[in-house]
Amino acid sequence: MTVSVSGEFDDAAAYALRDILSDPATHVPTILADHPGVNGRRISALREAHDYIIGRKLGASATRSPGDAARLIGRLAGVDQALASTLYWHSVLAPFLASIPSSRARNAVLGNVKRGHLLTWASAVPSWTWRSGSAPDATRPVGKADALIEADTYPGLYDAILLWESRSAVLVIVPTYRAADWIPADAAGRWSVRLDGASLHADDVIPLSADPRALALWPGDAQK
Amino acid sequence: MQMANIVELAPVLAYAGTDDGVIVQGIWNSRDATAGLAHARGHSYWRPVDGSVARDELDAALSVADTVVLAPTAKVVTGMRQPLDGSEAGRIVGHRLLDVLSTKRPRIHVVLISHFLVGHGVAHHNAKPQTWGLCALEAHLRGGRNPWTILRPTWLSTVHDPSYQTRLTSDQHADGLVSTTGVAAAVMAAVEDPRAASGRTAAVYNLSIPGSGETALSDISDQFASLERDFEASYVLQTVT
Repeated sequence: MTVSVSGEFDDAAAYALRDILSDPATHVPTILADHPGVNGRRISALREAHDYIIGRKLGASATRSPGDAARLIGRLAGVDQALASTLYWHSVLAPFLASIPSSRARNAVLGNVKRGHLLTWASAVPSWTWRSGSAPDATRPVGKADALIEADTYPGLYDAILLWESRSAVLVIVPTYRAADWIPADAAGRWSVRLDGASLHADDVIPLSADPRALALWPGDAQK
Repeated sequence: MQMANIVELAPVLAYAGTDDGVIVQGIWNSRDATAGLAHARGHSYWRPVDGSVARDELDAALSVADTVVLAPTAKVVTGMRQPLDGSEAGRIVGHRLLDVLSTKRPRIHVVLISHFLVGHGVAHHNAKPQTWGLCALEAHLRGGRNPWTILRPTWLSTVHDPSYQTRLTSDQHADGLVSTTGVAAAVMAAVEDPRAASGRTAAVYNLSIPGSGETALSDISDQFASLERDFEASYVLQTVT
C-alpha cells in the first residue's frame, strides 16, 4: 500500500484511522480526568486520529473548495461518523478562508491549515472584552482579550478556534494554546473556553464587512 | 559556492520590550557549531556581543548581510529565562527586528531557528511560553517581505557518530533527536542554497543510516527543494497589508 504525502485521503488513511480508533494508544490521564461524565478515553482516541490527520495534512485538501471539503468529510464519515463530526467546522472554515481576500492574518491561518492545522468554530461567544476597548490593528498591533467562548467539541482537538467578534467586526483566530482553561459546558458535549488576558496580534484578526455566516462566500449548507 | 555574509542574532524573548536596544543577545545551543561550520566553508559570520544590541551597531552589520540566522533563545550566561507572555514577546521582537528587515532590507534571507514543539501546539505538554514566542515569530516572519527558512530542531542530543544523517520533514508532529552539528549543517545548507530552502518550514532530526557517511550539504539542499513551499511564500515581495 502506497502512502501519499500530498494531503490526499487514500486507502492507507482510512486503514490507519480505523486502526487508531479501534485500538488507540494507551490512554494518558490529562485534565480530562478532572471532569466527571467526560469520556476521556474516547477523546484521547480522537486526538490520536487528529494527530494522524495533521501529520498527513489531510485537512489541507479542504482549502481547495467546499466540494473538496465535503469529500473529505465524506471519506472520514466512512471511517467513523463521530470523527467526521469533529472536522465539520474545519470543512466550513478552510474553503471560506481560501475564498476571502489575501491579508497577513488570512494568509497566516490558511498557511497553517496547509501545513496541517485543524480549526473549529466558536458556536457561542457569551462574553468578549478587549482590554484596550477594540481589536488590535496596525497602529496598536498587540491586544489582550478576556473572554468566554463555547465550542461544540473538545477544544484540545484543534489548533485554533475561530469566532466572530461583532463589536470590532473582526474574525478572530484564537490559538488553542492561548486558552487559560476549558471545562465541559453541558451534557451535549459542548465546552466552555476561557481567555484570561490572552495576547492576540493584528495578524490574528481578519476585518470583515459582516458576520462571515451572512456572507455569500460562507459555504451555503453550513449551520448559521 | 558564493561566500555569504552571515549575521547571527539570538534575541532573549524574556527581555523583549524591556531594553533600550533592539534586542538582548543571548546564547543558543548550536551557535559554536554553526559559526565554526560557516568559517570552515569560507563565510563571514558576525554576532553581537551578548547583551543589549544598539540599533546603529545592528544597522552596520545588516548593511552588508546576505543572511540573518535568527535564533531566539531563553538562555543567558546566568541561566534560563522564560518570557511571561511568549506570544507578546515574539511579536515585540517581530516588530523591532523583522519589520525593519522587511521594510529596509527585504533581500536578506532570514533563517529562523524555531523548535519542533511549535508544530505540536497545545497537544504537547512540554510547550513553554518560549514555544509560543517562536510560534509568533514564525508567523511574523512569514508575513513580511524577506525570504525565509524556518528550521524546527527536535530534542537536542550530543554529537552523533557519522552514520547519523541530517533529515528534514514538514510533519507538524515531527519528533526525534538532533545534534548541534546537525542543526549547523541544516543552517548552512539554507545559507548556501536559498533558492532551494526559502519559503520552507521544516523540523530537523538525525537518523542513523549505518555506512552512509557524513551528510553532504547538497543532500540537505535537495531535501529542502523537495519540501512544499509555505503558502505564505507566494506573497513574498508583494505588499500585503
